[in-house]
Amino acid sequence: MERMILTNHWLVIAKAEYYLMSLNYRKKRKRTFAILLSVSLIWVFIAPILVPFLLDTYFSDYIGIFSTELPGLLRQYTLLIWIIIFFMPISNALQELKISQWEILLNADVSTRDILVGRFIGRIPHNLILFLFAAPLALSPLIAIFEIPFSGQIIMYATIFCLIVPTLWVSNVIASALQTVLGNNARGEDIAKIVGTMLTIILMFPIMFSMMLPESLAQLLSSTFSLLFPSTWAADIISWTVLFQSGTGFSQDLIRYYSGILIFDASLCAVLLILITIVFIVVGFGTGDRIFTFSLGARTERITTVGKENIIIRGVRRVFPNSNGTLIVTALKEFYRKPQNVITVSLASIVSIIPLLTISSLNLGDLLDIPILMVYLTMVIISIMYPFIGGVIFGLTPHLENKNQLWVIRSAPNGAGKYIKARIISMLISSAPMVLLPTILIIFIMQFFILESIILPFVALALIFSSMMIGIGIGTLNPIYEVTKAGKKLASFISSFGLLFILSIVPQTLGLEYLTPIIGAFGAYALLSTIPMFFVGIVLCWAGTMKFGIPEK
Amino acid sequence: MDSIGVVQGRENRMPVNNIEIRTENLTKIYGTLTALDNLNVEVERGYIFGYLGPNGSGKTTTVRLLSGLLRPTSGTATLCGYDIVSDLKKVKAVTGILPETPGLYTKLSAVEFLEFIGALYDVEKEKLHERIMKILSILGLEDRQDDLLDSYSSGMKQKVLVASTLIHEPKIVFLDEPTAYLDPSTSVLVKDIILTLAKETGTTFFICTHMIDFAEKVCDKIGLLKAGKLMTVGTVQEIVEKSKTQNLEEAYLKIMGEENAIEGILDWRG
Repeated sequence: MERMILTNHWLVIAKAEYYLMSLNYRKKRKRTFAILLSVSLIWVFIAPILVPFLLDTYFSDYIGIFSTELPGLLRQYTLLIWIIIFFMPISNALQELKISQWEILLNADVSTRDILVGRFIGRIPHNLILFLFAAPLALSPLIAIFEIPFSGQIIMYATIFCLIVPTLWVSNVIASALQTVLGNNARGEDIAKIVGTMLTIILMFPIMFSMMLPESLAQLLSSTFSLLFPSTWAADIISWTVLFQSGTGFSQDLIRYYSGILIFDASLCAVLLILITIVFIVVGFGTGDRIFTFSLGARTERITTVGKENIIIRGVRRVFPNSNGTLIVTALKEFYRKPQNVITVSLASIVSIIPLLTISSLNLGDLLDIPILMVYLTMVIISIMYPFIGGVIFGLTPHLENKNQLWVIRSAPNGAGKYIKARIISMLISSAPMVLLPTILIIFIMQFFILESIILPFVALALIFSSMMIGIGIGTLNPIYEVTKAGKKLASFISSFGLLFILSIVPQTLGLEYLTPIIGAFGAYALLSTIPMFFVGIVLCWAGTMKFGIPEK
Repeated sequence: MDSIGVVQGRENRMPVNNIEIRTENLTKIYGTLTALDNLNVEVERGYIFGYLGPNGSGKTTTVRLLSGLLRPTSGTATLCGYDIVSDLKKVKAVTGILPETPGLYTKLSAVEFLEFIGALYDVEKEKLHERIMKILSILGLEDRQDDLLDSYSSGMKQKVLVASTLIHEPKIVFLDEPTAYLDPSTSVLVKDIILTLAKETGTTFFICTHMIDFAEKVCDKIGLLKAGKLMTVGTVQEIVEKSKTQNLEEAYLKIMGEENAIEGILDWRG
């Protein structure tokens, strides 16, 4: 039998990947791509000109900040970009095991290497435009503030490019390898979702850390330890470029100070970056078809039979005997049968004991003799930590697998309202013990007065309830499904986290002065931490429920 | 407006005048695409309306509009006398929908999923449990009723979806490709369920399907849709006579302009 030889498999896969990436402008692909490319190229040149106008009056302040913290700040931002670029494609790939696609490809006798190269090259046009838009955003402030000449700008862009390309390549290789391993496993989909969830959490932490404690992260990255990261080498090349090509000039003292932090000179960093690029590419090519190969193994289905309902479920049914109870029970069962949610809940329980650990490990000395101060300190810590559990961990965890499930809910009269209500109650049942238990332990350890001991658990509950409504509201206004890409999930995470962070600080800063003389510091802090968050939660949740339920246009 | 209450395809059917589904110039436009163009149709109580058309002709859009999941661009429709825009909750209460793409909760068992759907429609608990057990038994799922849905085959999932559509006893049932994924014996079972429900309880069915044979055997009245436009409505006999063909399949191909599709069927080989 004559064997049909297909050439350039990778090119065919690259084209398919390109079509997939450009799905949003599929009708006018070439024209849209040409326009986007032209605009992004123009953007590269005008961004540094625009920045001084945008920074305007604060321009001189920025020079001061950047001059003193330049290497640490650059390492911090480059690390964030590197982590996002590295983990996001892996997280996205794990949300969806493409077994049916492999079946088509393998039927046409395509090698693993073809799939790897095809996928990578197919994404280049899309990633190039992203790069051309994002890199000037990141680099323009530096270029404008330090008056970097054209040659310096080229070095900076080339450095970022050299960091991104191999990172994307190796991320593509790891994602493919994980898909291969998990695709052949009977519980592959569940494991993939666990790993995907863990990666999203890993993505969240540095962003959270950089938002809450930017200076600490900058200091950490000024240490020798950070020299192990490729992102540090790229950041240091940019720092050296700023030092030696800056039109504003740096004092000798500052250059000596920077040299102590930067350690590796620019040429060594460049060599390391090139070496790692070569290693990544070679390893990627080498592993494909050798260490892992796409194949259609015997994927046996596993049948899981549900057992008797446990005491908690039976208790919920007793408390809510009507149809609401059934919806709450269904929400709980559905949530806890997904391994990725169990991981999320474990994370929540770890976060929930942070206030307890913080308070019991603080060396407070004489302060322990001032009970009101301790109550106040407890309140400050829980008002920052508990909203994270309620809003981000429980509120934002997707409950719907895809949009088809939304159609099912919408087709029932007031289905959206009933569903959201059940979801809030089921999540409250899950999270309430998680915050009540540590709070009660703190009360016992610190031996608070009776009034504070009664109020604190209520504050904890109010915080978790209000923040959960904020998370659910944001997650329903801009619906997040399990299959939603990591980028969109991350955007919802950042907006929820940002809003909760503001609500944990701003009302207290503005209102404490006025309320303390009336109801005391403890009462004022309790009210200012919970009331604004509660009302924002109600509004967002109401808006989300409305949007969830209305017919689509 | 075409409103025909003539018996076709089933026995013991009498013409009735209770209109359960009525659309007037119902239109849906997505950007530049007219998905549904001035649909005018009436379906009487207890009738089975077959909605036939090629892929992308606007069948699913019609079902989503009528069940209140989509908002029409223009025109109106009433279900059991309730307007699909202003009486949305009432419309949802009297309808059941089997979607084209299943939205099953994979980590629930069949019993749990049907409990969830029943609770969404506020079905009384005892009644709901009894119905679930009976319908799963009729559909031959009693042995697998406590297994998680993620281990079900496509056909078994479709059975659960059919059950979920009927569990709250809707007056009007929309079925989007009900026999997709089903084996022949289950297709016959679903057909019998539809016929019995229509006959015994007066449930009205609006069925989107590609299965001409199925439509011919089950439906009292058929509407043929092409590119969002309703080309014709009537009984099978009327459509066949009007199109001067021998059977519904030929009539369908002629009305859709696909009767010569067989010519050049191998042209793609080059």
